[in-house]
Amino acid sequence: MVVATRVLSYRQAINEALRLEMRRDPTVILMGEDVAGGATVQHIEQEGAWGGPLGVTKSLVSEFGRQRVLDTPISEAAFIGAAVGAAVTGLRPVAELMFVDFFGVCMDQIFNQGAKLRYMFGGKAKVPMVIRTMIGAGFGAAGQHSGCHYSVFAHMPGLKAVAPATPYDAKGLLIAAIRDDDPVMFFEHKMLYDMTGEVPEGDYVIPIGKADIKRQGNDVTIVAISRMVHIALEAAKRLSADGIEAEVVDLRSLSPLDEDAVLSSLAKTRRLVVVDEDNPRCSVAADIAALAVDKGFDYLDAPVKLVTAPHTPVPFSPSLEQYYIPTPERVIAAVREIV
Amino acid sequence: MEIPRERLRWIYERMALIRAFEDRVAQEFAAGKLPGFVHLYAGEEAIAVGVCAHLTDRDYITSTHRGHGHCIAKGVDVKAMMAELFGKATGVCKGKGGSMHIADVDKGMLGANGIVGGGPPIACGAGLMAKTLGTDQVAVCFFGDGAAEQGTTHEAMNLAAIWKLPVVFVCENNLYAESTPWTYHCAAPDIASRAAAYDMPGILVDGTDVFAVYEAAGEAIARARRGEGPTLLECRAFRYYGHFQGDAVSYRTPEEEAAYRQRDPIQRFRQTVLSQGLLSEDELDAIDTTVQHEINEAVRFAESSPLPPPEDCLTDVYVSYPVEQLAFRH
Amino acid sequence: MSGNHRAADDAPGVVGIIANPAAGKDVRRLVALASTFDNQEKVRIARRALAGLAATGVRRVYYLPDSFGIVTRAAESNRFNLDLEPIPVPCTFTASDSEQAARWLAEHGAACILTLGGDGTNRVVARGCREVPLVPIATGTNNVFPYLVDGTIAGLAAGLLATGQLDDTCLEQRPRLEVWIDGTLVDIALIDVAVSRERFLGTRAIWDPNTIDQIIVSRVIPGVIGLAAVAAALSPNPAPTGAFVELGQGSICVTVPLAPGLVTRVPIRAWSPLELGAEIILGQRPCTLALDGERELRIEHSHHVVVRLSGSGPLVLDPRLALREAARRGCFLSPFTSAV
Repeated sequence: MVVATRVLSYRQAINEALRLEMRRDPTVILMGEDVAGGATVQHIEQEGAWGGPLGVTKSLVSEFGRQRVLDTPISEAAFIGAAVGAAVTGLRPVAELMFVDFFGVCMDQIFNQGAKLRYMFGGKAKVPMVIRTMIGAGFGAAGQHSGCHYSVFAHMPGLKAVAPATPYDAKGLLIAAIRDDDPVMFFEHKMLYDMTGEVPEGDYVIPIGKADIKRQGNDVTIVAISRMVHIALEAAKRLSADGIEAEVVDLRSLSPLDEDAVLSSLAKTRRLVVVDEDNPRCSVAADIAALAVDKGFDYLDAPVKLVTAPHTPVPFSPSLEQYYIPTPERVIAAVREIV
Repeated sequence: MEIPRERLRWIYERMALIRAFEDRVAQEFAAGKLPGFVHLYAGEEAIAVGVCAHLTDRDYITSTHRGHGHCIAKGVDVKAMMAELFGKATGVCKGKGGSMHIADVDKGMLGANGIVGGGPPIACGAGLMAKTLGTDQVAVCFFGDGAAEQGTTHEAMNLAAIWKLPVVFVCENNLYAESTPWTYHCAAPDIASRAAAYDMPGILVDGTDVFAVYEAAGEAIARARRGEGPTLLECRAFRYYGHFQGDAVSYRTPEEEAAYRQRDPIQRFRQTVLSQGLLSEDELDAIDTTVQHEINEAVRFAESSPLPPPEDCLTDVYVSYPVEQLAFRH
Repeated sequence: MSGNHRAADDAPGVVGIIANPAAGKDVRRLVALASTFDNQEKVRIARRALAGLAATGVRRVYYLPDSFGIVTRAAESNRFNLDLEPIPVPCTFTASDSEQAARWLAEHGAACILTLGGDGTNRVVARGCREVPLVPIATGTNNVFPYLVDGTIAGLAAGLLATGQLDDTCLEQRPRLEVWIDGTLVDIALIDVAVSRERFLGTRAIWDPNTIDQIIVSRVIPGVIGLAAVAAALSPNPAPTGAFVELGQGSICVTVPLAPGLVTRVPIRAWSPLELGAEIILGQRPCTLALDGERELRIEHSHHVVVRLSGSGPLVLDPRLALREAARRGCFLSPFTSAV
């Protein structure tokens, strides 16, 4: 079967995933601050105003109406909690936590309620909700709008966490997340929204918990997350000019983790660099390193290297922010240390 | 307000069952048979029962850390509840929740909650489900005077009001948040009036009088079912035990506690129905006997049930997840 | 300013304040369109009443220490230099506190009692206040008895009376309805007694005319909300003192506001005027009696119930009339000084 593809942006791919799932399943609803925008303002009641602060959910309200595309007050605890309650009673809500940095005001509802209900209730409850949230530095948005923080969520039993790096993966993973019966954190990197790529029409699913080899290579494995996949690919391209062939593994899912993908790549290359934009302490990168030493020790011919953000908040000034974000140069330097 | 005879019997049976359950749990806890800790509902029975009398299994409630009464009023099986408190495999949550997370989604009981103020947003979600799917289900959010000071409670009342959700907020004001008097922790100790800030009716109800609760809750729930939006009921009552079992209750005087007992909800019910000739003394006593039997059976069931196999620790975390990633690495 | 003969206490012109924190919060917010009367507003009213009292020279004020602390909060920072004392009655935080407080004030020579509440609150106070006049400020749901008046005005009026600047001639004695069961006076109502078919006291309020058989009204006055409005709507001119109304199928209905925002057609079977001293003997059957709009008494089969319209209700000071009289007497005048 030939499936038609078009070039879509990461933003459009996410929008399309939401649209297709809302068409397919009337229990899917969208809620969050300004996801339509302008609620009750008469002249935009039908088409919405913003469609999210960066336009990701634009025009969904005109197809699905205000009953299913719900602008919320700036009450993350209330509406994230309402998503939990709606999920446990039969809807499939997709809630938008505008920036992941805002988790502090609603964390109880995510990790004490949404993540733990099923377990505490002895398996009687299902919480099929998705929390879409923006991550990442590079926008000059400073300390409270630029973090990644996905490691916090990957740490929590009961939650799944995915972080797509391409439009194709964004669409397929979001559809999977909406159909999943567990609560899924869906991390969208704000610097990727305008990135374009081939995206098939119609619906398709990328299984949660499956990594993707974005580039084949035999000399070193570079495991990367979200936007860092592109940094890793750029580094790999430059290394290739020097005869070093890196294999780039896009984790895609942070919880569960595709351990096999990491370990089998490591078995092939025997060297590992992890690139992660999150803070390093207790991070996904550190977890991958632990996995390598625990289950892949015999494969390792060199120490595992981590290329991460520093252990600081995200700074504001461009010079500082550029220093904060891992670069291809830092990845190359790390690779050169062990190859 | 007409209350059919069968419903009167149900009201009494449920209140008596809650009381007997809690008194027995206090004993079993004191005897060291229960792990963890428990918060008992005795004294507040009229609220849970007066409210839940208007609900079906399809309606939802969210509860508090003091949730046994809500469970029983909502029809959760008492044997499975007792087994849960004993940490047994036959518990309603398979021994994974315990007293503080006791729940039965099939009965519309969305869980006791260890987080004060954890429930109100979830109740909004259940209400949102009903509104989105166009059903006539309602969600009742029980919360205490302590939770009245949580941001989630205020946010949830606001959300329920702007979306006109079928949610009834029932504040069980038992005068103390743990050991702290509500007159201290409330800047304006008048929780019912807070409804005005969220454009919903706010009323004060005698939470020791099941007929008052029944009538007020009936109106509020009917209003919610009609799609007219949320209501806040502040029900004042007293908890007979401490905040948790083991609490020395040094913040209340014996006189104060004696005054509470003067307004005992179960005795008040008896007086009313007997003086009105609605139910007979023999009938009520027979219910008491049945209830005692049921509690004895529940304890026997709990005691004779097995503990969950240790490796069950790993199940029920997710609907689907690689098992090897849930287990210890070594 | 002279001391008042009622004030047996050491200070002249002792005034009591009984504010009901539960007033204005019953189910009529839900079944009708009443406002929730928040307690912070009662605090502000009480604070203005204290200002009025202090301006007239009152020094000592006794108050009911209610669960909200309405008067305590009103007096915070005590800018009025008043000697405020809680009434030393055991608080149960139930309606009986108001009655006990009123009784204590009557026994300790209070010159008058400011009340903050509606008809229900004043009924309870009237059970205990004996000959002590009430200055009632409306903060309830149905407010036929109290005055919709600013706290400042009520405070001034109460202070003028307490300090002897006004005398008993300004007072009006209201009627009351006495409920006698088996020969014993068990309770009173200030405005109306309703015989309700409801078996339970429940939330106490009544709002559904279909549950009511009879209404006995103490005063037929127009422009009120509640059951008394039924009598007012039927009333010829000139109005009788009271009325006895039987509800049910007959030839007419009256359209009346039974609760705030709840305007209902009430079918009338029969009605008759009542003069002071009249007695109505109720049929012997289980029912509830609503006093001033609230179900209060459960009547059993064996009870012999008589409702008597009596002229010996509480003494009341109308704040506006009081201020008019005080102005006539020059109470507000003082010599010009530049240091005002």
